[in-house]
Amino acid sequence: MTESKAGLGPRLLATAIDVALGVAVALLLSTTTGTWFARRAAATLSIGSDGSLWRGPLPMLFGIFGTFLYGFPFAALLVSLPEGLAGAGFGKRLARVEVRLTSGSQASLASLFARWLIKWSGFLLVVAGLSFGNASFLGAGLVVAVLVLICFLASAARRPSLHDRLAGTVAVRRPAST
Amino acid sequence: MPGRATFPLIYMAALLTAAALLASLVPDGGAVAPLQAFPVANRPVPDLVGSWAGSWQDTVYMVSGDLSWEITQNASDLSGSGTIDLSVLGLGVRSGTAAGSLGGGGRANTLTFTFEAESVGNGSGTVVDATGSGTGTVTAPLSFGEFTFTGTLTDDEIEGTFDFTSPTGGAGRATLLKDTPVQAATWGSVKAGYREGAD
Repeated sequence: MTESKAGLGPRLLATAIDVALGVAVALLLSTTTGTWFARRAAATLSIGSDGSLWRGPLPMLFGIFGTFLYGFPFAALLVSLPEGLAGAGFGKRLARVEVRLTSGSQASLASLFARWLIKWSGFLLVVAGLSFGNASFLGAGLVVAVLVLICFLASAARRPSLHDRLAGTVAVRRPAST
Repeated sequence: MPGRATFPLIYMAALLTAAALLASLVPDGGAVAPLQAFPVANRPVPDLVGSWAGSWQDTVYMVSGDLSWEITQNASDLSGSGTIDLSVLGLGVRSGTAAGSLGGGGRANTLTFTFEAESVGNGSGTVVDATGSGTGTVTAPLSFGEFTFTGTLTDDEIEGTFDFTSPTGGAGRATLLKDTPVQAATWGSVKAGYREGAD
């Protein structure tokens, strides 16, 4: 087998590329889906009403750039989707990283999609929370997103990430020729 | 169907194209419509020359800060410099400039003005009679942070409201009072003034 487990560097590079693409897509969608998610955030968080807890400097900055920031999770999910369907998103493709089963064989669509659901469960909950006006989903999504990020950073250097361990997959480095 | 290796590239190209197409088809949701001119009024614009101090308060997010302006006049041209305290947002105290022009010269009844604050934003507006309004934008990519404002002016007070056009943007009010300098006087001139008033 020519593939070896991908190190932290290539995986961080892939993440950085995907984040940049997520930002670009969120900016492009700010007047459409971004505006819709900002309106949903205003309703979900009761922004502007007397009982709203979403007050203060940070919520205000979020609010001013709301059409971008509240729309970003949806844009990030769009950008990351190929990873759940084909084992590599745009960032991983450029960084020559691919998701395989721990045995080294090609992962099935079910395994890849399960891994994607676990990895992006935080943003999925945020999008669901905003879409259905459920503040609990929104809060839980933010907590989960932070936990997944912490697990990624804490274990990525030596061991498989949490979503890889749960899905039975591993990120491998592809040879330069493929 | 494309292979796994090429799928991410084709998908990303399609996604960016679709997003760009949507952005070009949908009118700028945050854009602020240009203001219509007010009917011509006869009262002159209040005397704005002097030092102004006050505050802004966002009543949606309950955040506030100080404001100050120094306005001077040269014939029909007004110019100003001032500060806006954005420390609560972690942006410190930002300085700004403003320029305006009185319609018709001297104490005319219209004033058009522009303003800009360092790394914060800019805007423009019109004052007719004693009522002003305008639009502005926070300096950022695309059209984020646009806002509208309206206000009323007197010789010693400016009071207005602002409203960000984003669905989650804030809104609030700002008030400025003109600093009236303490006039120097001798005890004799005070007594002379009192006598004149008593006569």
